Amino acid sequence: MTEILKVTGLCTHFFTRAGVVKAVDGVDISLNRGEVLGLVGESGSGKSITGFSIMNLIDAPGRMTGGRISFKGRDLSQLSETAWQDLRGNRIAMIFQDPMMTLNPVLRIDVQMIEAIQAHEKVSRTTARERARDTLGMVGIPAPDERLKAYPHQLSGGMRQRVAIAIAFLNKPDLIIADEPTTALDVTIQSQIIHEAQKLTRQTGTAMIWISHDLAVVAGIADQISVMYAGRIVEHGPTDYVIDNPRHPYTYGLLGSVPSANKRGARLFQIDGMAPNMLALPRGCAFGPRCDRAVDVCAAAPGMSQSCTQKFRCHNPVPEAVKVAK
Amino acid sequence: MTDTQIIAPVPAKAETPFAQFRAEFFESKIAVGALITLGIVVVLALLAPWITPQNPYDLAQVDVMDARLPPGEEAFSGYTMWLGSDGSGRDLFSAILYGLRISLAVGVASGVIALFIGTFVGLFAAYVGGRVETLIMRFVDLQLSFPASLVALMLVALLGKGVDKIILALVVSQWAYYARTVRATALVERHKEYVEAAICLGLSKARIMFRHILPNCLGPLIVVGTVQVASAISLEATLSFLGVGLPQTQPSLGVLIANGFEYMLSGRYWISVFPGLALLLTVVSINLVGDHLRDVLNPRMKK
Amino acid sequence: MTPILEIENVSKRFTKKLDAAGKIAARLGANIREETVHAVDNVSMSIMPGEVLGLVGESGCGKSTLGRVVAGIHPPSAGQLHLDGTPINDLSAQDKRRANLDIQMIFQDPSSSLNPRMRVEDIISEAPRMHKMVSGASETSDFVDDLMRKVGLDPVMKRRYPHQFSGGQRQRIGIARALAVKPRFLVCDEAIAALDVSIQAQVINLFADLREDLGLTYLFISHDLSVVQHITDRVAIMYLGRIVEIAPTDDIFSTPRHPYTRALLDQVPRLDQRKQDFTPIRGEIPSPLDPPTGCHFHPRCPHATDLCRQNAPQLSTVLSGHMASCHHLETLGV
Repeated sequence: MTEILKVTGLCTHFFTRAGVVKAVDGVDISLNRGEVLGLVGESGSGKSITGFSIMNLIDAPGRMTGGRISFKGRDLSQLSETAWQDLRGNRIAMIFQDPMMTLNPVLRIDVQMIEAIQAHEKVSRTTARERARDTLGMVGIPAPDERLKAYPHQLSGGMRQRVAIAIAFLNKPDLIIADEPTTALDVTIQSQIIHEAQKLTRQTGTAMIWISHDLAVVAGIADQISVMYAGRIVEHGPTDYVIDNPRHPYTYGLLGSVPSANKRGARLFQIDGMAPNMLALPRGCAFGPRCDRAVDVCAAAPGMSQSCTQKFRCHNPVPEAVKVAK
Repeated sequence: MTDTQIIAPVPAKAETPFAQFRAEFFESKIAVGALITLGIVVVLALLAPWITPQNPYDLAQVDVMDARLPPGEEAFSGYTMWLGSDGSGRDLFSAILYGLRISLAVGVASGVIALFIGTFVGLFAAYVGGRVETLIMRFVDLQLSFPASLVALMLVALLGKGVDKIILALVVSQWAYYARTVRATALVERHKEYVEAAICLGLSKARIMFRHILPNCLGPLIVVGTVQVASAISLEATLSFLGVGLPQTQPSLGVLIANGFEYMLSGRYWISVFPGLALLLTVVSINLVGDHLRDVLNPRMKK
Repeated sequence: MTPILEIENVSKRFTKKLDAAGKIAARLGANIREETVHAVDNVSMSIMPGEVLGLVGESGCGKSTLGRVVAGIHPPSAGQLHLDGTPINDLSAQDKRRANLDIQMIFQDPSSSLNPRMRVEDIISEAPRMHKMVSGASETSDFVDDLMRKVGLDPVMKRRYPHQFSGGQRQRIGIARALAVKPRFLVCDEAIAALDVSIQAQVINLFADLREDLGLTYLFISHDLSVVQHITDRVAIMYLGRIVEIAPTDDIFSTPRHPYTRALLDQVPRLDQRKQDFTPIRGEIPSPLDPPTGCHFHPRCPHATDLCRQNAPQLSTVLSGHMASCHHLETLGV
């Protein structure tokens, strides 16, 4: 298996008026060809900032303060802005929660798609147009020829997101970063899009980072899951292990608090408290104050531990024998 | 209550809305500079009777022998006229400060009165809705389709000179801006969930309008207010310059500029230029402050 | 037992009227006309005291509008509401006001549902003060403290403004504000959808506690089927303004009858369904401006026939308490 992306010790900090926000603080990611990584976390956990950092899309007052990102063996930190432009939208593409981040409201779909192809490749308009049409068909858009002539506002939200996904796949990138791509969509549309995205990664061998707050969605698409809390990955492993046998109390709590048929009517397991203030993180383990398994050693920040199946950042992990009640 | 009930912890120190607003405002050096300039201008104007070497409108203190002295010359009665003197021997520095007093007073008074009238009308329109609203807003549109200076000019021509009359003219030509702003903001606010909640809680329509919606319209109002005060000041100067504004006995900056205009061609630039600079400084600094207020108060610009 | 609330043939239409310029343009042949959205189309159902009724559907199906009609924010275009068996419109002014207070609403977005310029204590105590349910500074203060504790907030925070709270805490403030007028019925409109995953469970548990302590009845509007399954006693499924199926929660999840309900249940992402190949439902929800003829679901339904394209099916009972509106209930089976 070829490794497409390797991120080590990524730190992205925001230097705000009120202090330094360590939005991403030492994140490691390793992704092989055709693999889907689910990056899960709550708002403010740094999951989207991680995605933006890999794309080199961090604006002031934020700055990547440490770590190394290598893409297909190439160190990205030394890349010039022109080299980035060539890489973005070509080898690495991004899908946003709001498709209008990708789509230009005053241009027709075909114009935008042809432009996206010709920006990175010398092909004729006709060839580019054909490829645009084929890609629209691949993401499950009925009557792609008609859609090509439409403007973004003439499409429904689900349709727009499909077009944005098609644009991401246009140049057959090696990596796609999808930031909450289905959060704004209805359940039926969401499952259609997950279905298409899954099919496409299999067909094209594109690796994907699927960023979401919804464990159930990620469980349906990802090979590996990384759970983030307060800027750090607290648990990482193959989907089945993380979902069935989480070791970090935060993952365990999240999974336990998802309602299901068997817990009907009973009190839900709840994680008390709320997400920490990123300007004043608790000492030691950031999850400590909310954790029901916290012990004295938690006053010191835990390192990554490794079991046979997964990695977790916890001094007192949930025992392997304890499964989540479903 | 079940015993597992949690009391959510107090979040770490959060800024009050005002502290946050203040901190954001002071991030812009230009706006802070403009605010300081404006502050100095206002203080100078307020203190005019105590800091100027002469009262330019007390005929006993004005000597015609001092007429048209260039900047820096010494006056007959011994003090230095740093900005020169005008055609009748008044010290320009003193005249400008006295003129500023009148210009600022007229601008602020008309701005505040127009703000109250416009806010009331705009809120009333949004409150009653239907035909009355359409009628009011079409009238507002109609008035806004004429240039404010034209409306003011017509009114002053009808009413005659005087501070009260020019304030009236400025109010009439400017209230519509406030009315339109308030109504537009109120219509946006009216569809927010907190208003739906207030309806659900059985609060009276008047209370919802004045206690819930009006306070949330203040941001845009302050922005429009600052810009309109600046434009009221320059509008008044325009009218006075044209000779239909304030009388010679109550000389604003516009009157001073007009008085010096005849001397421009003979090289005595200072009589017009220094009042003009004072006007420019005042209006530009108010506008800069207003511009930055818009950036800070506009929720769409928030990061 | 009389239902606490009965919704009888309620419809809600929104008409976008043409202004003068639009009318002239239309006369001159421009392609614009008055647009009417049938957000809620002849809906009837009843809710028993103490019951939690789930109202499920995709965006644009009219579930939020129906909730707002129930909460008295929008007047219905047709039909009426009965509270304890009496039509609300027939009540005296005094009783009508009480009836409106009896039904309160919890909103989706806790940041826009609280007035940003008011302190928490004023947000909570305003309505009870206006309705003379509390008076005097100390009584009001105690009243606010009490309510804040009840929803899990520390009363020392009552002098703060909404933006100084986290999302979950703001939602608690919204709940306290609704409880302040001593309602018997809460309409929860996507009340947990905007909250973080770990906070959702806290608020769901709070709803359950309040139900137990105060004997509240809920209309729980949500698109999230797993939450609905957890908290409700009965579920109504809505599609383009109409109720397509209504049944006890267990029945609807074990034996859904309407093709739309079945499709919806299949699509819900679940933790125990991993990397499986979905066979997603076709197409998207049509525009409510121009709904399909006959059964609104027919363009997406795999079982649609000519009958479905022409005639709208009525809700019919398939089992005691289980109703669905489909022409082909018998042939589709269980």
